[in-house]
Amino acid sequence: MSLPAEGRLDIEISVADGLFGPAIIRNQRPVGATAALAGRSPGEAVRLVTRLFSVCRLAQGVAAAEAVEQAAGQSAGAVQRQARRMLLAGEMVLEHASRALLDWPMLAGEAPSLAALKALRGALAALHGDLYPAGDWMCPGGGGLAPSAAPLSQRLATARQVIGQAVFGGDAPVDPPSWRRWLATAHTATARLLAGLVEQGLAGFGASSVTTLPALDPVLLATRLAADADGAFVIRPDWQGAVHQTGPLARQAGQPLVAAILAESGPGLLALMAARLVELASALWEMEEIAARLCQDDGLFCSPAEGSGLGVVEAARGRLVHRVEMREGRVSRYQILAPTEWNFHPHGALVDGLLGQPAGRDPEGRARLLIAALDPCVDYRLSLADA
Amino acid sequence: MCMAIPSRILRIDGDSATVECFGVERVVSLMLMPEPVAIGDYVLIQSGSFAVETVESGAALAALDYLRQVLAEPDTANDVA
Repeated sequence: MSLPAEGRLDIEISVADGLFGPAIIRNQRPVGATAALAGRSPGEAVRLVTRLFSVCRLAQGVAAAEAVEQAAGQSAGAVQRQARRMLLAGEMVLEHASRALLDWPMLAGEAPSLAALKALRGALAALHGDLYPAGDWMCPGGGGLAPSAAPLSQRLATARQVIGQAVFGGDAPVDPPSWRRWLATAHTATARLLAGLVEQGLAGFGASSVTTLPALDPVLLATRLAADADGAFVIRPDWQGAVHQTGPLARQAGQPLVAAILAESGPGLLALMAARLVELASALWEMEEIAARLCQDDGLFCSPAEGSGLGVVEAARGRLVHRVEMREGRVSRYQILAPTEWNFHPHGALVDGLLGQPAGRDPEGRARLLIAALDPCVDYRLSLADA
Repeated sequence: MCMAIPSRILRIDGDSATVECFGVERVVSLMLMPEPVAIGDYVLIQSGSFAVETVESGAALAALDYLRQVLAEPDTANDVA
């Protein structure tokens, strides 16, 4: 159950003659949730953002810091940017693993791997404290970066062990041959779910013709947001008239295993879920690579008086955009464009992916699988009607 | 929009707790919590029904105060079909 202030998606699907019909999505997101950031200092606004939008707190904090920095005409130094990459990768690992260990097993009627997820959360949820002991990781310009090598190394070792055992049952599959072996022999709930999709002919279920979100011209994006007086763009975004999807599949479509699955069964359930697993493994490798060369850094002083700025990051669920306007040293306007608004757009990947697909004996179960594969950042309510 | 609002623990029953926020009560699992919790603590809920972390009361109250301001605005809610 969601709280009114947290927002919710109301998804209404219909079935006729055994096929899914047009779905209707009502986005109950509180569009004015950032309005009360106006009047605050940039530092206070960024801290509040990380407390309020805490589902992907680190991505939100980094996007907020970068928006403020751009408003000041600054950017954080290279070392700070590396540390932020580390934070984003850590959050991505935790979010993707949460889907594989918690949400997906429950959809498949299996018990979630709570002990494994708890161990992983213990390793990664406080990662920012090992990098920024003063807790100022979200500070515009960069916080007091003082990485503690030994605890960091221990956290990463724990994360690798938990993910290896509980998600992959060994090494992560990275190419079609190892993927086929994994589906055939691995005994984790994740492998069983995906092998089951293949056996049931659901690998391509939900394949959508909605294209992936391209790189967005930052000037055009800032202009579009600045003109969005009623919030229509951030609640129902398009780019030059087209709706797009964003997230792990958009980012990993060129990876050999994901590309092979796309070629075989299209951008359906299997490709969406495999892309998340591929990204889970690659984000962990990226963390290990960055950890080896992180060093101390004090950051820059950053407190813009006037101007506007954009912060764009790839969060676990897709591209996240923050925009801030500053006047007389205070925030005068704050906007967030979140990935859920692309993927759960009334004409987006979920609606397009369901339309005309076979509903089977359990249409609600199939719809929930596709919703989970697209991974909304808010709770949802699903209703099913016979057309 | 990726919001997780701190909820206050009203009752604890083994591995689950009843929490409250803005007058809404819900039962959540404590099995992902990294440390023991007590009645009156504020926690964040994820994946619908799992408490995942404690929020220091000052930070929780600041977030709730902010959201009270947001909810008081008449055009906050949204419904785009």
